[in-house]
Amino acid sequence: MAHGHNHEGGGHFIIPQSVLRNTFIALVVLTLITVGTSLFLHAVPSLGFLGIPLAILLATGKASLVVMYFMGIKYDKPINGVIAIGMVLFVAIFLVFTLMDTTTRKAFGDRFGTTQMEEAEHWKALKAREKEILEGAKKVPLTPADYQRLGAAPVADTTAAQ
Amino acid sequence: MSTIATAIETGHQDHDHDHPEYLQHHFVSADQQFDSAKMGIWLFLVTEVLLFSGIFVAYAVFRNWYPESFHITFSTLNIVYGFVNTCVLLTSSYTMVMAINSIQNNQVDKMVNYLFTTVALGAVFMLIKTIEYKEKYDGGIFFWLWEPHGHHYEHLANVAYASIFMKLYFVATGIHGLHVLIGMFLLLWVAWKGKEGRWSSDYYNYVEVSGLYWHLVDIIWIFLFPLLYLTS
Repeated sequence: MAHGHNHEGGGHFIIPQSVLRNTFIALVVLTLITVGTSLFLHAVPSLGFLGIPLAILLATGKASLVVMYFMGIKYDKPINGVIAIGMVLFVAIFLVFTLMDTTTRKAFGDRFGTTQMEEAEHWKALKAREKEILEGAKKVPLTPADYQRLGAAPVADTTAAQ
Repeated sequence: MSTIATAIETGHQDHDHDHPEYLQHHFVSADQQFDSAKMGIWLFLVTEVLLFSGIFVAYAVFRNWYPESFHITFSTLNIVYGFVNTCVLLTSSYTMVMAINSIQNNQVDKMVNYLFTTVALGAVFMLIKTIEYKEKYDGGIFFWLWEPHGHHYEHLANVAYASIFMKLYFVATGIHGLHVLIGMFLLLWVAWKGKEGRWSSDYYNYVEVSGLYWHLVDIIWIFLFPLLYLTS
């Protein structure tokens, strides 16, 4: 049985050591760039919004290098590449749909999306309103006992017709 | 035919057809067995990624809801530990890939050495993680324990939702650390079997599969590092 045959898309293609070495160097460089970018953004707060997108972008770049070269997807059968892409797709669906919900709750009047100070204020106002309602409810006569308690006259004669 | 594989006794004497010891009967060829193992591990890695996705999505939701708490809480994390750990894991991925390269060229001793190096680097990672966890434990913060004290953490007691983010940190790094530990034991077993002469350039499926698992552990950390340590 032949071994060590280098056919494309097969299981035994030997990735050249130079490729592996260069991938490793690229990974370390990208890590340094990530840290450098973060320190730079700390120093320039006005560009702070770039933080998350850049971090994700660089991390995705590094992960792609690991997947393509260290895990060998580039030299592998296409089915494994399809599985890897499917993996990313499912994570994206999970993330996007969840965030679509949780980040837009304020738009429909829900309380999330406010700052914590606003939350605390709103909670206090809600509790005060609840107290108000409960106090008010005590003043509404419903049963004959209520009428007695409040000294209010019944609105209509509720005795059965003779 | 590799002489190494046939040296192992597996009770295969009653055979009238000729095939290597390591080739299971439900496979047509060793190539098909290898491809099948590779696809199988990729499918498993998809489930692992979705496991960690749950944590990442929770992170995204809570970071979006309480950004002030997020920044204050995660400022207590030490970037140096995270950066060193990243370099350690990246190097361990490189030694892992060199182990595969070695066994593909039938260099068993080299493979074993690379595997031991990978495990050692994993141990360094776990050591730094333990130091980090110890620092937090001494500050009264540990998984579900929340009594922040000490000059480094006591301000967190007054930050609303800070405990959520610390718990997210422990769950994310804890489950990842568990995966690193499992990987270390897996690779030790593979190295041990390699020393016994079980792997060769004809049959290194277990090495390949363990390698892919280890790379995934590295990828998870590649995402964890900037999201947890490099808040801007």
